Amino acid sequence: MQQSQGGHQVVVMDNGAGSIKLGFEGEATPRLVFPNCTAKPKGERQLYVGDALLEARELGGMVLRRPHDRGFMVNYDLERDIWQRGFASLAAAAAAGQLQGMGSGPGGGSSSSKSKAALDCRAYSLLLTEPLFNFDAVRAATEEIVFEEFGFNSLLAAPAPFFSLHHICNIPVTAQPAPQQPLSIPGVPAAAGSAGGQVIDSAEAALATYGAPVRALSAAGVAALTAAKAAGAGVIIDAGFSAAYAVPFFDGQLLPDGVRRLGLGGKALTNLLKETVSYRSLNMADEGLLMERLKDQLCWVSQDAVADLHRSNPLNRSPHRRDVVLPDGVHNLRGYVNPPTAEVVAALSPGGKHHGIATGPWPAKPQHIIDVEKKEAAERAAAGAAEGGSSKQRAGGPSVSDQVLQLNNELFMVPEALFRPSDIGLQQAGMAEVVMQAVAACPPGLAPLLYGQVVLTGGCCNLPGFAARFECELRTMVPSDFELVVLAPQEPELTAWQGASAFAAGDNYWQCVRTKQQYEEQGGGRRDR
Amino acid sequence: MFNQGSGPTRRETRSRKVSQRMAVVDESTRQQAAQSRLDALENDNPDDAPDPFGLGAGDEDDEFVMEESEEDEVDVGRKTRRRKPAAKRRTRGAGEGRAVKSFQRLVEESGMLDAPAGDVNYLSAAAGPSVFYVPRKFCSVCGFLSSYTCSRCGSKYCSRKCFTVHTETRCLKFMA
Ligand SMILES: [Zn+2]
Ligand SMILES: [Zn+2]
Repeated sequence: MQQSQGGHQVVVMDNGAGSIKLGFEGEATPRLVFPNCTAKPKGERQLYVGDALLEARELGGMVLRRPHDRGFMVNYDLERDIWQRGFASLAAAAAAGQLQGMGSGPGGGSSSSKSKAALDCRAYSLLLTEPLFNFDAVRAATEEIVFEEFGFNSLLAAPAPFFSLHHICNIPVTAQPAPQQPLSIPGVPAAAGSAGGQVIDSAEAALATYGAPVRALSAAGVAALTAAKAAGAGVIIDAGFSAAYAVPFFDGQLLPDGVRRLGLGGKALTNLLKETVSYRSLNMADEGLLMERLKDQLCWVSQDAVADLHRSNPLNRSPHRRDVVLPDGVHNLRGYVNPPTAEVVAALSPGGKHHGIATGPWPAKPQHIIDVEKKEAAERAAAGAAEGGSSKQRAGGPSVSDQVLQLNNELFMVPEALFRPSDIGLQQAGMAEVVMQAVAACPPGLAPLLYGQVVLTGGCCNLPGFAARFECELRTMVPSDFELVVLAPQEPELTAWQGASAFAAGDNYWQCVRTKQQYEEQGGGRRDR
Repeated sequence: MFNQGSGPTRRETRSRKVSQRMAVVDESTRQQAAQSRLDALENDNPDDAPDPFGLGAGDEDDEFVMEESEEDEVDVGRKTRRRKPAAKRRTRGAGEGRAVKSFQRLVEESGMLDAPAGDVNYLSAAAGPSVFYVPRKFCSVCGFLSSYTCSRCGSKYCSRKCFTVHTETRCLKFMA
């Protein structure tokens, strides 16, 4: 057998339609997380492939190509190119880690390989996530690429929620009863440790990687969660890039009959934001990457959309308004958000009109842009003094040519579509109600166990306010004789990868893989599971 | 292009065609328009023009190219998505490319469209409509709550001001 780097034997890849999470078995976090796409600046020859995009200086005017459509891999060659670069970067990261003594594998430091070498796939097994209900044709093509083009020695492909489930079922109950605890602030996890301080160290460690209950648990809640864990039951929410799934499980097994899918994900939200601002203010049709970043940084889920709509009118007094200075291609390459106006600061301050309301994050203006502006203002002032004052130029402040995109109610009305798809004309139930439909499709006796452990995974769960809104809305729907426990991992986009990493390090892994030899003997495409 | 209130040119071009073909905007047409808008939310790029590369910098040029490419693609939703992979494949080295199948074709070939009732698959897992909430109505111009409906196209508006914007620039263009 060929020598692998750092003693690792399995490459673990969560191949999401939006982003790829790539690393080794047994590690706590992936080595690389990068967009699953290529991007080409308009009118330039340069092409960013996959993780190369992480180093792109600009985000503007990119033409994107993604191997996935609606969550399924449709462009195999494009995906192969993205994987190829990702594997090489993984090998480089592993080699660099080894040099720094960071290699955490059991046989670390066995061979000092060169950092630029491509990953020797023959020395590794590949654990790959796939979408639920993957197509046979896609599976066959995936195996062909994995075995014939990369030459991995074995492969395990299974749906991402399968690995999230593995992660969930291996975490013990940790939350302490705290009945008087109020609803947590959006974005701030209600760590059980702050409630009682009786949580032991290992439980805190588990919480750090896994997640706390959205609402601190009552004694009945702890009992419900304990029962659900004992039965290996619950519902996994996988709110990803292409869709949001509710996946019930029992006895440690996914229940396919109960899976329900809402056809909205991060991609649709980005496009919705893009469409809305293009219609209302500036044409951002070609700014997919920039809009995705703005969505990730600025969008949030309202706890009461109608009330927040009223607060956001008129625009000049809206606490929700954010003025984004768009990239100018010179100093400001990625865009930034202007500081809040004095009026809004006053309204948001203690005693102010909007004090205490949930509002989105406010990223600071990058220091290098402040520096550039100061320098330019000084130059302008000097030039103005020399010329006797030019009427066109103002001293200080942002330059006249800045393109400013005003965002206001879009910031919460776009994510609102996840909870009320019918608002945008999609006749499907929202995030919370999808759970109701999933549970209703399972045997009735399971309902109390399923509601006892609802876990939020997938990148959309990162939206500030998502967990609180989800919990609150679902609570009003679930019959009052059932206890509802909603758990929110701190890095919901990594849950599937973390489960996969642990699974690949476990004893069962090698009994589940399909080896290259089996593939060659049986021919591609067929697999027994 | 960057004027307040002006939408993307290509959308206007497309919408104009829709309105010309269908003078009477009945409910089913409105639903079709809404559906193609939902489909467009899964696009990677604003348009699936055969050659999005090349003319880069000038905004005017871009718009012009988009309009042209729109001419022969009236039905926006699925047709263009099928065309795109073909164009992609040509850019790869000859002979090495695997076929790129559209999602729609994967669904058709998987047989799930003819699957017997009770079969569990991607389509059967689709969440049903809500029983808890009725659709809310928001102004198609500014996004606030609205209580009025345009009698010609069915779009919502909240005030005289927004209605004026709507009738002057957007009516019968099927943009939310
Ligand atoms: Zn309005
Ligand atoms: Zn109208």
